[in-house]
Amino acid sequence: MLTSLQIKNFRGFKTLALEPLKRVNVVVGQNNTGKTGLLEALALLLWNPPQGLANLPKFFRTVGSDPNENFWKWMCHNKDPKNVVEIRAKVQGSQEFGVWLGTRPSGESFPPSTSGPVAALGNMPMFIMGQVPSGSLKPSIFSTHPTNPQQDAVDYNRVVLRRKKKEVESLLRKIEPKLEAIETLQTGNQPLLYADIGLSEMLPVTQMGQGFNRLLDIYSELVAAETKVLLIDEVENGVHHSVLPTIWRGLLHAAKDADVQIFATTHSLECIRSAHEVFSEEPEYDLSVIQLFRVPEGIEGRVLDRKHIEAAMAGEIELR
Amino acid sequence: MAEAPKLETCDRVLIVEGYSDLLFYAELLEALGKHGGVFIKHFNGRPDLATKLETFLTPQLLTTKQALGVIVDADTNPQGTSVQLAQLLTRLTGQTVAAGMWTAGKPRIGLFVTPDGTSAGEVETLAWRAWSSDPANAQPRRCIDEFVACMSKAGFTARSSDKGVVSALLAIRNDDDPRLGPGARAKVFDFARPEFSPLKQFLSAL
Repeated sequence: MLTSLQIKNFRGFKTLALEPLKRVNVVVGQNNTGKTGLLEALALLLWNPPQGLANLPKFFRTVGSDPNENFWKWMCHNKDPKNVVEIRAKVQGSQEFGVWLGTRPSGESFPPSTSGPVAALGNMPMFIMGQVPSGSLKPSIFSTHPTNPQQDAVDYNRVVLRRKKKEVESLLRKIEPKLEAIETLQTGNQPLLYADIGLSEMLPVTQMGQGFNRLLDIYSELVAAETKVLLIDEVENGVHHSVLPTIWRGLLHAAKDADVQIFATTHSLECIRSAHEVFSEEPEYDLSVIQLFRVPEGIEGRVLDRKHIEAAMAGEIELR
Repeated sequence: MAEAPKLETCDRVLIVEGYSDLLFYAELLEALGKHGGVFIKHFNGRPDLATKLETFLTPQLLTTKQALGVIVDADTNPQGTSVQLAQLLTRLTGQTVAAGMWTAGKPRIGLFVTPDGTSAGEVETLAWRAWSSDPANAQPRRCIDEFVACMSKAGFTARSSDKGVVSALLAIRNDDDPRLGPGARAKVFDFARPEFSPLKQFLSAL
């Protein structure tokens, strides 16, 4: 689990230091304060193998046909390639590690752990620094893009294979009480997921709500994948506020069981409030709120702990 | 009904303890002709004031506003309250803050500890001083004094004597809501009284 994160010269961030990070980290801020950028920085740091980062522009954004023009050239702070991108993190009980994009100045005290670049992203060489922690930290990405139903069905097979089907169904039943089962069926050329909700025929899950589909994806990944980090853009997307506590409870318990860390952006105060209420019920309050702000010099951020989140709730202080 | 000011669109912010204070200071600012462009933020009461200030005073707020004022009650410890809050605001804003003063900014940071920066008490202390020293209120003041004395003989005293007398006054003069703020809204207090001068002087600089 990451305990701290440092970002330099990445997109809108000149420098950003976030500590201490928790099991679940809710990222908030007004529009254009770098919430999605923060998730991209984490993806850049953790993606393995790094060659897969060629798709980084599409992880959370719609960049059109020219990712160089619409994404890569904006990677360096102020669009200046001399601003070398650096992202570092610490992991519990382990040393600092990081990635570096661009031409490294000589005499840098934090040497690369490989002799040459491990990838080239938008014409910038990428180096790995320090000792990358053992065990995969490759993140799973949940953007606001619609999911691919065929891929969802294939992914769900992993849930079945790992005997986690009942667990996922039980989590989803909290938001759809009529749900009896979810099955992968192949009625045409491709497999699709179907939900048994007590009708005369099973219903394609694509006919269920957007929130249900998103949670099905997230829960499946949490319980069945080998990922250790979930990056979720707009976690409340498609979800009615009344079920947010249920969702947080499900996410928290599944994340603890699978030892997964979550970074989730939100614009919703109800989402933060319900997360706070759910985590307050737990023996260990494993939630932080990462606030991002646009200031004249760029973007600043800070991590709020339980004491400050409680003070915000009590004093009706805007957190988003 | 006028729309309530929004934090995003106001360039000056006044931070007070509770909702009743918000109403009181809104009236006072209105009387000073200073309410436009001021957002009054209340913290739902005094508990955890320091943590609430740490949470509320974001980097964005400190870089976008022209002035941020904080008004709190001295309660039993005027000196301690002044020093603690001045130190906290100094740490949070990077400017040297002192009670009763405004910094040069930007933003200008001001701190005022009621009733007057040196005495124990609350904003109710100030309001009571102003109301009870007005010769026009001599007769009703005697009624309240007698009521308080009578209750005391019966074994009942208010935790804060000034809050007690203000509530007793407002229970008759503004019986819908006998708290200070609604009382000020009902024009029970005369802001032209000299007792309000230091507070008005502070707010004039907001």
